[in-house]
Order: sequence, then C-alpha cells, then structure tokens
Amino acid sequence: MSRQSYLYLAAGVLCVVWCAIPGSRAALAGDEVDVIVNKSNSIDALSLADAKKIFDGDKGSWPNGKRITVIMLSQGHPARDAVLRDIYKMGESDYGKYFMQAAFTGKVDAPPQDVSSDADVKQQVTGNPGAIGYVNASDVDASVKVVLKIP
Amino acid sequence: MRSSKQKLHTAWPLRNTVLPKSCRIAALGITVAVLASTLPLPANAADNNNDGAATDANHAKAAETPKNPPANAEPASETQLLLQKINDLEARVAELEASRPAPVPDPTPAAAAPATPAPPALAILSSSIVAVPPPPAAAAAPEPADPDHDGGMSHEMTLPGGPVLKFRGFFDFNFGLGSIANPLVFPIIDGGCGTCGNPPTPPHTTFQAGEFDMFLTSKLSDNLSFLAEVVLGPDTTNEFGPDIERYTLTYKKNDYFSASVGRFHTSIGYYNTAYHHGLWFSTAEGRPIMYLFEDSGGILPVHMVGMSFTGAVPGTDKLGLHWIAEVGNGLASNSSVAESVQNFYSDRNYKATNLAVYIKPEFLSGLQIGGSWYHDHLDPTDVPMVSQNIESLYIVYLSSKWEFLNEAVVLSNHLIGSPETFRSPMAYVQFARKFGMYKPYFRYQYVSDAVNDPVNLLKGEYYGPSVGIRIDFEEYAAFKLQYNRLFESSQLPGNGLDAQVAFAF
Repeated sequence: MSRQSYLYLAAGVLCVVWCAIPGSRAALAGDEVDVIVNKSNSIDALSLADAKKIFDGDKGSWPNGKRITVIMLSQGHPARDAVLRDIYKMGESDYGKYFMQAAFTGKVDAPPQDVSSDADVKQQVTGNPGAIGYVNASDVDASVKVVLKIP
Repeated sequence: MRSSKQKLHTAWPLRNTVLPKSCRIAALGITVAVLASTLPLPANAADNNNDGAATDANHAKAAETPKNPPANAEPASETQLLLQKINDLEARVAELEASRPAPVPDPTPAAAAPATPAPPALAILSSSIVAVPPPPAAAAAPEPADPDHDGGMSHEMTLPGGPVLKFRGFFDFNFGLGSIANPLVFPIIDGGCGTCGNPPTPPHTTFQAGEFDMFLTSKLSDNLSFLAEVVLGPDTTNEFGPDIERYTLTYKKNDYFSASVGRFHTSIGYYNTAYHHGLWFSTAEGRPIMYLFEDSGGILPVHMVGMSFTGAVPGTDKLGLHWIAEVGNGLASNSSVAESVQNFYSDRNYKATNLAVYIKPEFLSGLQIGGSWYHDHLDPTDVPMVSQNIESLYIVYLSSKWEFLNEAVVLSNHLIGSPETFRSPMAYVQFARKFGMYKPYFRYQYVSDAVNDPVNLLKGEYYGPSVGIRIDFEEYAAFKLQYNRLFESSQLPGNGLDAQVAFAF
C-alpha cells in the first residue's frame, strides 16, 4: 500500500468520524436551518436581531397584535443547537437558566414549548397563527413560511 | 324442563344490563360458594379445611386420583340438586335486580371520564422539564367521591381548560465566619447604625439557613398572568417567618403596554428588578448593601405595593427604549416600625411614584443602560414632613461569559420647610467572567448615609471589596465562596468569609 493510499484512507476515516458528530453532520450535508412562521403571518422576513428579540422573549407579539408562541425542538436536535448558537448565543444550560430567570422577573410566562421533531414544529406552526419555529431547510414545505435562514 | 345449559344462557344477558360489576362478582361469588358447599369434601379435607398444610396434602392426593372417575361417583340426584340451587340463586339475583333503584345520572361533567387527559395540576417551570406528563387515561378518570372521607367533595383541583399553576422553589444554605464583614450577606445586627453609639457587631461564626423561596406563576389567559413569591426565612431571632415578597397580577396588552397590580420590586436601578429572593440566580452570595431588603436594614424602598405600568416605545426597535411608571405605598414614615413595607395600611395619603427608562440597543446584545426617579412624601414622628427623592443610573452588560454591573443611586431626604437635605450616595460595581463551571467575581460597594437622617435606618459609611467564585457544579445548583472586607465609619475594618450552596428545585 502506497503512502498516498494511506493518506486517502486517513482522510476517509476522518470524514467518517466528522460525519458521525451530530453537530457537524448538518453542516457537512449543507443543511441550513430555516426559521418558519404561519403562512397567514404578514411578516415575510426577519433579521437575526429581530429573531433574537422574539426567541429571547423581549418581543411578545406580532405587528398585528397576535401573541408570539416560540416552538423549540427538544434537546439534542442539531437544528436546536444551531439556534442556540446563532440566535440565542448561549449554551443549553444558560438557556435553561435564562428562561427561569425571565419567568422569575415576569418577563415571560413560560419557556418556549419543546417538540420532538421537525414535523411537530410544522404542525404547531401551521395550527397557530402566532407561532414561530425552525426546521431543517430540507423539511420545509408549502404549509409554512420561511422568514429567516440560519446558515 | 329446560336444560341447565339453556337456563344459564337465558341468565347470561344479565352481564349486559346496568348491573354493576361489583354485583355481578358478588353473585358469581355466592354461586361458587354454594356450589362449593354442596360438593362433597374428602373426609380429611372436611376435618382440616382451614389448615394450609392439609390443603396441600389434599391437592397432592387429588392429583393421585384417576382422571376418569367411576360412573357412579356423582349421582344424578346431586346434579339435579345443584341445578335447583342455581335456579334459586338466579331467581334471587333477578329479584334483587328488580328492587334496585334506577341509576341517577351524575350532574357533574367532571365525574365522567374525560376524552382527553386533563391538564396537569402542577407543571415545572424549566426548559428541560416543561410539564408533568399527562397521566394515563385510566388514571385520569376521577376516583368516585368517598362521602366518609371528604363529604362527597372531590380533591381534583384541575380546572378544565383553565389556568395551570406552575411552581418553582429556591433555597440557599450558608456558612459564615468573620466580623462586621458578614453583614454583606447577613442582616445588619448592630441596629443598622455604626455611628450612633451602638455596640460593634461581634464576630460570629454560624451556619445559616437562607430563604426557602416558593415561586408560583399562572397564566390566566393570553393577556393575564399571575406571579407570586412566598419566602420562608429566618432572622436574628432564629425564627422562620413567612413573607409574601411579591404578588402581581399582570395584564399585557402588547409589547408596548402592560399593567400590573400587587406587590413588586420597585424599578430603582437594575439589580432590584433583575434579582429577587432566589440567590441561585445571583452571581455573588448576597445583594449589595444598597439593595438590602427593608427588613435587613436596607434604606431603599425595594418593595412597593401598588401599580406598575411598562412597555417598549414604538419605533425604537434599534435602541430598545422602554419605559416604566409605578405608583404605590412608599415605605413607612418611621423606619422603626416592624414592617416598613405598607402592605395593608398606609400611614399617609401621599403615594410614592417612580419613573424609569432603559435602553437595550441592538448593536450590543446584553447591554442595558437606564435610570429612574422616585418621589415620595413621608411623615415621620417628631420631625417635619420629608420629601424623598431617589435617582438612579446604571450601565450593565451581561453575556453568557461576561457580567458587568455598575450602579449608582442618590437618596435625598429633604425636610419640608427647612433648608436641610440629607443625601445618601451609594454605588457598586461588579465584574465576573465565566470559565466553564467556574465564575470568579469581584464587587466593590459604597454606601454613605447621613448620620442625622430622620428616616433611614442604616446610618454611617460602609464600603469595601468582595471577591469570590461561583461554581456551578450542577445545572441547577451552585457553590459560592466569597471573601468580604468591609470598612465601616466607626469600626475597624472587618473581614468575613462566607460559603453558600444555592439551588433551584
């Protein structure tokens, strides 16, 4: 076996290991996370700053007065990790503490609702005009509206 | 004569009548008992039918008997007798059934098994544990009321489709040693006046129970919510006493307007509304001296009983400008009263007002800059009316790693009709940086209260640094170790070392 073959083999092993890491798999596959809202929502696009205000609970209602309901994927989902990293800019434990304190100060009534799958997120967003959530871009369909793409 | 099979078959529809299961079981039990009593028992079994060992022997003996008994083992007359007994019993059951009153429909819909599981009565307020899982369908059906125990009243507290009560608890346990420096996390025990001739606070070493904090929230509707904080805490008398520290009913119209009534933390500065009684939230072990609670010698009106209005200012999204307006009972005019927060009776008609604004600019998430102006009139005994003003200014920055808290407050008590004004400046700075589970921090604080102030309980100067480390050894539990050096105007500098375990549950 030549030296070049060993290099190819090592690169292959590295690729396999890299793909096995959940957080990096989505990135390697080019899967972006899309923030979605109900199709009836008049908002067509959100900035990252707007999304942070909404997900943080600083902003609680849409321009039409509808109460905002934030839907989160449950712990361990790569898309949740992406949202915690890029929107919340905090880790899982800080997220829990943040919302506990937000409830303690009266800023929010409760932490965002957790659901277990992309399909559940879409179902919640479709059924609630004020809901906002996120799914892998590959799971987006015509039942929801994309307002922000998280690379 | 119908055969026994036909007879039994005609009796079968009883199972599909309204006869309760318990009656059916009872009838079946009676039948079996009668059958058993009419069957001939082996001689030794009849003698020892209450003896377990004998019964086992009988079982063994029965096992030895041939499977096909002799044709004359059960006489035909005995079969007839059994059938007759069955007929009699069925007739008796039918008679009882006929005399039983018709079932009365239950007027309460809750008595019927719900089609969907009822919402949980208690839910946990946490990101990781959002709600108690709904009970299984069988368990969801309410137990029938037992008139002997609850007079027919059900203990089921769930309101169908109604608000859900959420509960969270906090507690802290402390160990402190040292001298006057311990009041940083311990109520001032020298009478709150280091310059009034009171004896110096003696050194003390103590294990100390913190505050058993029960925090409750309930969302009554999309716009209406309730929040309460009930604290059980000990004081220098060593007695635990209950306090309803906060209770607010909030109506939130939208992001630009919400109104609350009840008892809340006055929006003076930042710390007072960001941190309440659960010490697990705060980086340091205790509150800065300037924000000590009223019953710990604090001089600021930390709590207010009244109304609070707040909201964002439309069109200022990039600046994040917010306003707060509060009106309520200020502190009692005489600081010597047992309870200076006027929960029920106000010693004057004049109401305290507080206006505050703050910004949270988009360009630096975590930055908050704000200020407030508080005004009240107090009517202390033996002195003229006092006009009280409290101005505050703060700049804070919080991120997942960094924490910068900087606040300054000036409290002025002006004797109306005289030129005298007593000013009490106070401030603190606090820095912290998180390294994984470790978060070292530093705080320096300063409080200077005029000795002749006619209102304030805490008098004299208190200043000095504190340095400590917070270790989040579990997700919802932290250990803190803090060294305090405190200078007080009339005493030698003191040192204090305090350890604390604070957690949420």
